[in-house]
This record gives sequence, structure tokens and C-alpha cells, in this order.
Amino acid sequence: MGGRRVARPPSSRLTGLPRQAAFAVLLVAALATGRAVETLMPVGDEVAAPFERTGGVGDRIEARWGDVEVTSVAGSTRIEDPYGATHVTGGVYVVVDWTYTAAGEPQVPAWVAIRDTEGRVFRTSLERNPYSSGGAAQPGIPRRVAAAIEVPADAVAGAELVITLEPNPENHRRDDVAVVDLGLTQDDADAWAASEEPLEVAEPADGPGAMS
Amino acid sequence: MRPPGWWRRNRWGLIALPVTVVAALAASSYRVETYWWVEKPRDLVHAERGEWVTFSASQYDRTGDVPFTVRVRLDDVRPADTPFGEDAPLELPAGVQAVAVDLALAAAPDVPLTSCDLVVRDASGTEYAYQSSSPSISQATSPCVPPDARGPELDLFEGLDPDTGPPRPGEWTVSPVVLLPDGVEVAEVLLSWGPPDGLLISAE
Amino acid sequence: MAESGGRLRRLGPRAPRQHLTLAGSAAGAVALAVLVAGGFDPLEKPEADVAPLAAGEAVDLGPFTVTVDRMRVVDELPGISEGDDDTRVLALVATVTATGTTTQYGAMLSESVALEQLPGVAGDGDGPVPADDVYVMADGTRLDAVQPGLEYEVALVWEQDARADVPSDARLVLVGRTLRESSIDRSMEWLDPLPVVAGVLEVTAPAEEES
Repeated sequence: MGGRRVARPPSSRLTGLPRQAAFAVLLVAALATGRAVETLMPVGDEVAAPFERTGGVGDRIEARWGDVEVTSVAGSTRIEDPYGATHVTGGVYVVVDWTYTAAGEPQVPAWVAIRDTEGRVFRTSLERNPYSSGGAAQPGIPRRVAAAIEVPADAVAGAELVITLEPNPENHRRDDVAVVDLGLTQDDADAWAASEEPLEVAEPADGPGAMS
Repeated sequence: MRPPGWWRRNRWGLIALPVTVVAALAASSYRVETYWWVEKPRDLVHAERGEWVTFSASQYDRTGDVPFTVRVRLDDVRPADTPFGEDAPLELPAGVQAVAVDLALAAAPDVPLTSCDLVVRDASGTEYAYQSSSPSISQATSPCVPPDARGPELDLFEGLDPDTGPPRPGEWTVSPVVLLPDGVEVAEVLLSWGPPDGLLISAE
Repeated sequence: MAESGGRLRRLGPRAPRQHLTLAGSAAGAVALAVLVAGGFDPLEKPEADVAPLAAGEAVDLGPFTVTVDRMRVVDELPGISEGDDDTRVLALVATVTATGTTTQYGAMLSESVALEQLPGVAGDGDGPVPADDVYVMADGTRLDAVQPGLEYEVALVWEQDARADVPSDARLVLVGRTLRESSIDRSMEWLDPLPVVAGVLEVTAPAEEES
């Protein structure tokens, strides 16, 4: 036995069983390390976060795809949409008018939502939360648009309007997002929750309008 | 005898490394096509105003690839009075101008040419697109064919005859209207029947 | 040290045994790799227990909480059956809230409430028929988005061929969903629809209501 052991060249040890086992262990260890790094490090959210361009009502907020300026904010429990239908909410309809000017090429801001201080997101829809972009806006020609979004009254104070191009929130990563502080307080919420005056939601129009 | 060095032991791995790097890049290269090449007209034929240019490209529909050849001449880019294919005068908001792009085209009457995009660019490269409907204008859906004699359509829907309307003449003119902010000068006109092919005509 | 090294070396030259161990360790590595990567998604989720339906009791469907109230026959509902003699509408009155922090779209809500096959109610195949549409009772407009933090009184509606008899009762199936990472694009989505609650509800005919 001892003689055979001596006769074997030392390098053959490398082709023995521990080599295979070590390979398997290393492979699994590498995968596990990759998985652990991916889940433990905050890279996913941090690296993919959108760039928030912030401002208030009346500020011209510049983004990669154009600029946005909120011109007025109002609220009530009732709205009249551009097709003449009246919607009644148990919460509050927040109606925001703003001007969008595209940059570079015709573009459509398809994602419009109100975000409250708790982080809840209230998006527009076709009928219940009307917003019509009027299609892609030509660069340099201001497009006046309006959105009405129903939210619970406790979401009004401190609410922000969030606007960006991509309708799928997954695609907001690393893109510009305009965030407008609507400057709302609890007093606005209380007054609007008690108001039964139907607010009209304007149809999209081009040009600077009467406001500016 | 010395054991073989690191370079020697790993020589096959080292030889394979550049190959795998190239293979990895090649495997993900579809993104260049999907997210860039077919995103906009990239493969451009250049032409000058006032001259006929022959443009050949391909569209596709249910029957497969539909190659076509069309001859195009840009005659003028001028202020517009009426939308393309409409009689009512234009009503423009303040700060907006309308330009008509006068084009002459020639093609065989059996070639489907309705689905085309027209874009005008200023000197800085900003693009303004032909829009058939927007809050400020309503005009013919296709900027490339006569609105009353569009010729055949692409065969896109089963059970829908793609060629029903009045036949298109062998040669015709169109004047699609594009809205721009005041003060913008049109430098180039870009016609495309689907990326990546396009026809770029200088308007100077 | 020397003793253990010798044992391993002795194992070395036995070729078939070595291949077996190699295959075993490779299979083990693959199994471990799959486990480390999060495992396979099971193709079939186990059948959940379907609880009996009770009017007035809130049911957690995942994206929504639905409280079923009553079911009735409606002759006219703006937008879908106005002045139409060929169809009548079965409307389920319910209260709905969204459970999450973002807007849920109405299509998922109408898919979450289904009616067991009834004569004259068209559906695909043999399974329960999801609601055609959802309307807000307060104003009669379509509910195409459910905002978080709000409670909606809604009518979920099914069209029924007027030639079929008015049913005296109908069996409802409420379908729940689970929030999980989609295996396609890794986004969090409400997936895996499964019946959560099912039961029979009395249907009130319009004539009975008038009397």
C-alpha cells in the first residue's frame, strides 16, 4: 500500500474526488454570493430610481422630455368630465391644470398621478379619473391639459402631482419624473370634501392660453 | 521538473475568454436593434429640394415583406392656409405657425403607400411630426397619398380587402401640414414607411 | 493527515465510481443552484379552501376587499342596456375598497367577481362568467379605477338574454389573487386567481320590488 502511494505523481491529486466536490461547492458558493449581494445590497432600488425634478405651483419644472408648469389646483366632490358626465366621489376630486411643453420631438406624458405624504399613488384612468393628453405635443408648443383624480380627503394635505412619459411604472427607472408640490393643506381638504360644486375638466388645447 | 506556470495551466481558458466576451456581446446585441436601430429612421437616403429621388424600402403585413419603390420630389416648404385634405381654414393658437410640405410622388398604383410618417426638422435637429389630429388641427390620416385616392392599404386584417377605394394616379402631389412654434425654420424633411429606412430631403 | 489523504487517493483511480460521484456532485450543484436562485415556481397552486358566501361580510380578495350586498334585475342601466328589449341586466350591489397603496384598475375587479353559468348569460367555456362591467352607484358612471383608501358602492353587472327566465337565485364566485413577483419581468403583480368565496344569492326581480 505504502509503495503505491509513493509511486503516484503528486499532480494526480488534482484530479481526485475533492477537486469535483470543491468545484461544486465553489459554484454554489459563487451563485449564493451573487444572490446575497443582489438581495442584501440596496443597489436595485437606488440605482434604478427615477430622477425627480421638483417644484411648486407656478414653477417651470424642466425634465429630459420637456417642461411642466402647474397653473391651477382646485377640488370638489363632483366633476364634469369632457364628455359631459358628472362623477361624484365619496372622497375629494383634485383637479389640476398644467402646461406641458415637449423637448426635442413630439412626446406624450402618459403617466399622471397624485402622490400623498404616505406614499400612496392615485393614477388617472380613462373615465373615473379623466386626463387627456391630446396626443403627442409638438416641441416648443405649450399644451394645456387637465387631470381630475379622486382621492380620500386625508390624502389631500401635502399631495404632489407626478408626471412622466412612460405609462408603466417599471419603466420610470433612471428617467426624469416631474414632481409638483401642489401646496395643499387640511383646510383645502375639508373645504373640498364639503363642496358639491361640479368642477369642469378642461379638454387639451395648444398655445399659452389666457393664463400667461 | 517545475510544475507548469499559471499562464500555461490556464491557456485554454485564456484563449476562450475573448471568444466568450464576443459571444456575450453578440448575444445581447439584439438590444441595439430593438432599442435603437428600428426605433427611428436611421438608414437614410439623402436628397435635395427640387430633384427627383428614387427610394426603395420594405414594409410588412400579413403576407410577409412588401418591398416598394417610390420616387419623391420636395417642391416647397411654405406657410399653410388649410389643413391637408380639408377646406376649412386653419385656426391656430397664438405662437403657432403651420407649414405645408409640397411633395410630388410617383409609384405604381398597386403599391401600398398609405402608412408613412412625415417629420420636419429644424437646423438644431428638433423634430416636428405630421399629426392628422391634435387639439389644433384635423387633417388627412396619411401625409403621402392623395386623401381622395389613397390606393391600396397594407393587408393587415384578415377579411378586410386592402384595395377598395379609387385607384391612385401614377404621379401625384400632396401638401401635408405640420405645426411648429413661431420662428422655427424647417431645414429638413424626413419621410419614412417604417424604420430603419428613411428619406431625408434638405429643404434649403 | 497523511492517513486521510491516502484514503482519498485510493478512491481516485476507480473510474466508474468517480464518474458516479462526479455526476452526483453536478446534480447536487444544479439542485443547490436552483434552490439558491429561489427554486421553481410551482405550476399548479394548491386548491384553496372556498368559504361560503355571506351577504354583508367583507371578503379579502388580495387587491380588493369586497362586501356583497344584494343581487337584482335591472331593466335599464345607462350605457349598457338602455331601451333594449333583447337583454336584461343582473346587477350585484357590493362595496369595494382597494387594499394596497396604488390604483387598481376596474378590469381586475370585474374579473374578480364571477357568476356561475346561468341560461342566457354568455361566457367563454364552462367556468363562471366574470362581470361585464362595474358602475358606481352614486353617479352611474363606469368604475375603471379603484383608488386606495376610498370605499365604493358599486353595481357589478352581467347581461342576460331577455328570452331566458329571470333566475330566482344565482351562484357567485369571488376570485382572490396573490401579490408576488412575476417570473417574467420580476415586477410585483397580483397573480394566481383562485376562488376564495362562493355561494348562492337570491335575485330580486323588478316586479317584486315595485309591489
